Amino acid sequence: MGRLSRGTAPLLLGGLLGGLLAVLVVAPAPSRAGGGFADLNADATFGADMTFSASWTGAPPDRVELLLGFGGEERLVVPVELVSGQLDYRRDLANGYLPPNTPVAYRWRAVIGTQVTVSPERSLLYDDARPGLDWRQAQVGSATVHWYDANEAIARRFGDLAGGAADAAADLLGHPLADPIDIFVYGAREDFQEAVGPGAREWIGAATYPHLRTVLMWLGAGSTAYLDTTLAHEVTHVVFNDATANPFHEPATWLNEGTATWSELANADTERDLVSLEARRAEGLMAFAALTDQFPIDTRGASLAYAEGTTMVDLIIRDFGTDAMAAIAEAYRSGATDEDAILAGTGVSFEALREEYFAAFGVTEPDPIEPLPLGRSDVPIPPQAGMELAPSAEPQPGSGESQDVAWWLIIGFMALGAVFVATVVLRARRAQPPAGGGNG
Amino acid sequence: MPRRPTTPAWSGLVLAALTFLVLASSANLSALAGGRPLRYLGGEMGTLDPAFIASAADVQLLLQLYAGLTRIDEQGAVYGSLAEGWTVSDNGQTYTFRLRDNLRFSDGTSLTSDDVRRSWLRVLDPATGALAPDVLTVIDGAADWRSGVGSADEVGIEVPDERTLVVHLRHAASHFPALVATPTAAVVPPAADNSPNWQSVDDFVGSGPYRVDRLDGTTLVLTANPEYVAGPPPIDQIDWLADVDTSAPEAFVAEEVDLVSVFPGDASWIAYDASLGPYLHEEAALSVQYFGFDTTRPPFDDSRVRRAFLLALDRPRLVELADGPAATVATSLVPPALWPEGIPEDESADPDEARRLLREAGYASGAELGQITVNATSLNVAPAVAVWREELGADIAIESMDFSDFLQVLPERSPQVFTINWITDYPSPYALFGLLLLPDAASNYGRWTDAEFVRLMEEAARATDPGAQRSAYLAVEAEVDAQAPVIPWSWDVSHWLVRDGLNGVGNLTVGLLDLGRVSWAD
Repeated sequence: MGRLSRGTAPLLLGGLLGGLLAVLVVAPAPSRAGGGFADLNADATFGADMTFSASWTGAPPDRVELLLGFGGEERLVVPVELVSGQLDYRRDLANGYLPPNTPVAYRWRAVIGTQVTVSPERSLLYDDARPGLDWRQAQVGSATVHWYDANEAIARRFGDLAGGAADAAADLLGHPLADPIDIFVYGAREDFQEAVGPGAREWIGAATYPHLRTVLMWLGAGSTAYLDTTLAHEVTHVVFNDATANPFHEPATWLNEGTATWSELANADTERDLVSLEARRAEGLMAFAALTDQFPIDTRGASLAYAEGTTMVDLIIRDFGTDAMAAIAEAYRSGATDEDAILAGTGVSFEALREEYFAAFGVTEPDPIEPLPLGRSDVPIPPQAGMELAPSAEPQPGSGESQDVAWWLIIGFMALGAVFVATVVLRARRAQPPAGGGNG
Repeated sequence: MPRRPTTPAWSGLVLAALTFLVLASSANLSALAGGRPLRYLGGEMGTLDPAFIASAADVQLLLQLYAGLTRIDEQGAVYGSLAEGWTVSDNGQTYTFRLRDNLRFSDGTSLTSDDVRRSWLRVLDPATGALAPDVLTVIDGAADWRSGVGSADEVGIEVPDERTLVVHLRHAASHFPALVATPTAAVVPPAADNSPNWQSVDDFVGSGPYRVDRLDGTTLVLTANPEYVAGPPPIDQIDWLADVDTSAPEAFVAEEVDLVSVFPGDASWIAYDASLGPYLHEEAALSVQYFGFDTTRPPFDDSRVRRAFLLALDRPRLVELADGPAATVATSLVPPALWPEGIPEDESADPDEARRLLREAGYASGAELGQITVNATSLNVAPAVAVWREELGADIAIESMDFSDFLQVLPERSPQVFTINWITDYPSPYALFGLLLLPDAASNYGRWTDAEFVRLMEEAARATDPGAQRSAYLAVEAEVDAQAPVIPWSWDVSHWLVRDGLNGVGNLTVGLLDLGRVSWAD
């Protein structure tokens, strides 16, 4: 048989949550003909699990499911077995990541024949309430700041700064901050690292989950000035997400990160120096096709990726004005591709823009690296003796040469074509960013 | 994307050192040749039983552990494995396989044609509960036995002697030699019964190039099978890693793995990366992502409604938006590499016609369809759902499931609209059309039945020359398009990082990866 592969992971997959979380007990759901749910409960322990329970009165249903939502429209459906009128489900969060401050919506669904009974939807906020983190919070403008220990002053300053950063990003992108944001201020590195999850790179100092409108900041990441610009960067990500939101396409990473980094100081002076330096090195610059999705894993590559994105945004703003950025964002909202969005915003094709960009640094956009040839098998197949070939156009021993050529042609074309996007069957990366991803 | 730090001064040195390690190891360790293990990130072991293959990862693993009458090489060519050859009757319905002499299981016990028959009947036996018995229901009497009409004795598999197997088919099937290369048709030892635990890591007996030696933590250690029909493979040991602590590219740079698939999002930068780019390879697309409909329940029991959902979608635009400019929109369930010649043309979206079909089916607007549930487990459905809402006015709820739950639910009660990412494991259009859409196919999750499709498939199976095959399968495709039990979405291409000096991985096609033909360069 052909095989199913996992494809796109459900939103929840990988969910791993730290901390002790809220407990919610809700009123019984009204019974309907055939039965009804009651005693709905939910609980969570940060870094361990989430648990849900309910009772069912009435005839045993054909099946019962728990529907879980994690801040988006999609609902994860989990079959749950009814045992003596009781429903219990524990979600093990040991092998994944779910960001703090994730609102979890849940409801139960029972099916008897064609009749469907659904409990009211309830919600549970999964926040980082690990022992020792005595969170306090304050509303500062459009931000709710959260802090523990003696970090109230800096948290409140972050709240003030967030408002200014959001306004500046809104001016740049022609779209306001859609809803308030939450900023969590971590004093200790280990607290922060556990909050951002096991898959996060160790050197990160802040993280944003735009779909959750949540920013996590670690105070030890750098100087006060560094933290301030970092906060502007993170808040801009949230505004960028609002300004470009659409169901079709996620904007190129270089544009998202470039916009956020440009917004730190409203210029790209530092980044231009870096790009100029790297353009003179043997490794050279990176093509923008390499910066549309994940950024490189090595520090040089990651830094250059940010710098190229920032300087490209700066080029757009200098040549075409901030209106161009707003028009690009608007095009994304309408479902444009990256190329179409750039064209809509600047009136210039992305190809022409890239050409101008690289020319400014005295180089041309690099081509993909030619892969090393794959050695053919040197293992002989067993002797194919005394056989009459099947009357088939399928490749057969002794008749497979033309098929070989066809396959190798395909491979050759693909190698030249360089970058295709496809679903990879085996998921090697652990703790991928959750739905919507984290930015920073 | 995490917030970038200030660039440490030593970062360039670290990268240079890692690059050096990659290059140096590639050059020097090759001298160890067969003594050098191959570390492959194959994923967690799902099953050791060919009757219970549930995923592409299972296929990959069991291809290393079991042999069949035929096998598929790294270019997709079928060759005799346990069989040294076969003949075909004039009407194309009887295959006579001649097994090699002195075949043995990995424990040294003899392997005969009776073992092949027993293995196939075990898969077909309703009591086994195999996940894909329909792979073999082209054998005469097999479908009857499974439906309770006939018996095992009436299944058309004869064993005249211990080296001969005669197989009678319901109809001519030119793809049969390729079909029996699939792991589901592999030969299992006599201990294989209908219990779930007849095979184990600690006491493994197989027939493939490798045998299971042990579980070392989460790594499955495979060692060369000295009894393998082609002789022990060149690489003595495969470390089949279940997982790594970092990303795939990082694991490759750190030399934790020699062969690993990478996300498209990583492949996009690796292709331009001087240190990793040379090791990035792209596999021929043998998989398809598609939407399927539960055709047994309203509203999708009506082909006009299914066609409406198909015609509403401007798939070339939507696939590019969803997956990037290099994504390939699927115009058929069958990827291009498997078409005898050419592929069907793309069909343009026609929202007006889509709305007309809905009205003709009795739905004045999409809202009258009732709430439609679209399961997103295997595909990003947001673009299609947005269009269905916009163009058809459909009320849609998006749901997903954990993959293991999804596998359980699909055969029992598929969602109204479900999503599948399917990888073929033998190179024929029949492998996709047949296993996904024939009425008796276990993986026909939408339970679509169409007599004309069945007739056309039998004609296609009979076709032998490429021109006739192309015409026949295009007729099949036309019927599928007209009835729309599925909406093909994209053909997928995966990317791999391959350590230099590793020969024989060929096109890296997921379902066909045969590590028995892989070696380290001397």
